[in-house]
Amino acid sequence: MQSNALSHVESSVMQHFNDVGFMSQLREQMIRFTQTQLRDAEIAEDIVQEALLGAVKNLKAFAGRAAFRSWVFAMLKNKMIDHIRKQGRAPATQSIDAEEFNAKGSWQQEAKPMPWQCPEAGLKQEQFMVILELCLNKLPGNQAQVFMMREFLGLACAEICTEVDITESNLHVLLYRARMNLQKCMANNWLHDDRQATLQKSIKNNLMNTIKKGR
Amino acid sequence: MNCQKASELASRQQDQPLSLSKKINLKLHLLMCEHCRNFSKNIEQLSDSMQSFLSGDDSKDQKK
Ligand SMILES: [Zn+2]
Repeated sequence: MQSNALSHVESSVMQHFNDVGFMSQLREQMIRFTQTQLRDAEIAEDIVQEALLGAVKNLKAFAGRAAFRSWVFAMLKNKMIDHIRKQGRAPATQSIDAEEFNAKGSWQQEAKPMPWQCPEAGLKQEQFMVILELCLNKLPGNQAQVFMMREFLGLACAEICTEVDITESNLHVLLYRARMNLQKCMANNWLHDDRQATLQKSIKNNLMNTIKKGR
Repeated sequence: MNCQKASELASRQQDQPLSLSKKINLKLHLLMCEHCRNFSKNIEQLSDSMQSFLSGDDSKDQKK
């Protein structure tokens, strides 16, 4: 009796899964829906996949396509809320609109990184630091904060996450954005003006202030 | 692997060890791609310069 009921439920679910046209349409719909909230295509697809797998794991008879669809969407909704709570929204979407890349993920012409001069090849340390400080000041506050915690204070990722109260993946996104922006800014503002070197003494203090402000 | 992904991994590598397969994929991409190689070197230099600044290597430069 019980195995009969189960097989009925199973066939009800599999009936939907075996309908390739319906499933692919449903999947597209779910992905579009998810991307309104989470613009990362890869994450959106993962979440949709999870929601569909949930339909297999939690076997339940469905009267028809509409019932199946709304049930899967309810599952999707929960997955998305979980994800947003876990990830925090703002930084998660930040990585997606990387203006440095085209749709295929290749560097845009004007964003292609150029090689820097090495300090050994005549670049003075203090000049480097002057430009770095200038560029750090242009970063959004949270990027500058985590970058300095990591590279200047030398804190471990786990410690930074606890301190700033963000997830590890948010931290990686912030550090990535910080490095990308710094990398670009440093190339654009490469100064060889010796007068700038006189500012060097104040830099260490300023750097410390940046960190204190951030905290 | 595209450039966006490669540059993300290059950044991540500064903070934590990558899995072997990611490391190999990144290496292969860097071999082929000059731009990502530049990016990777630049962010490494960012970190190195900060460290030598902190450890006082810059004082040698100042005396010259
Ligand atoms: Zn590349």
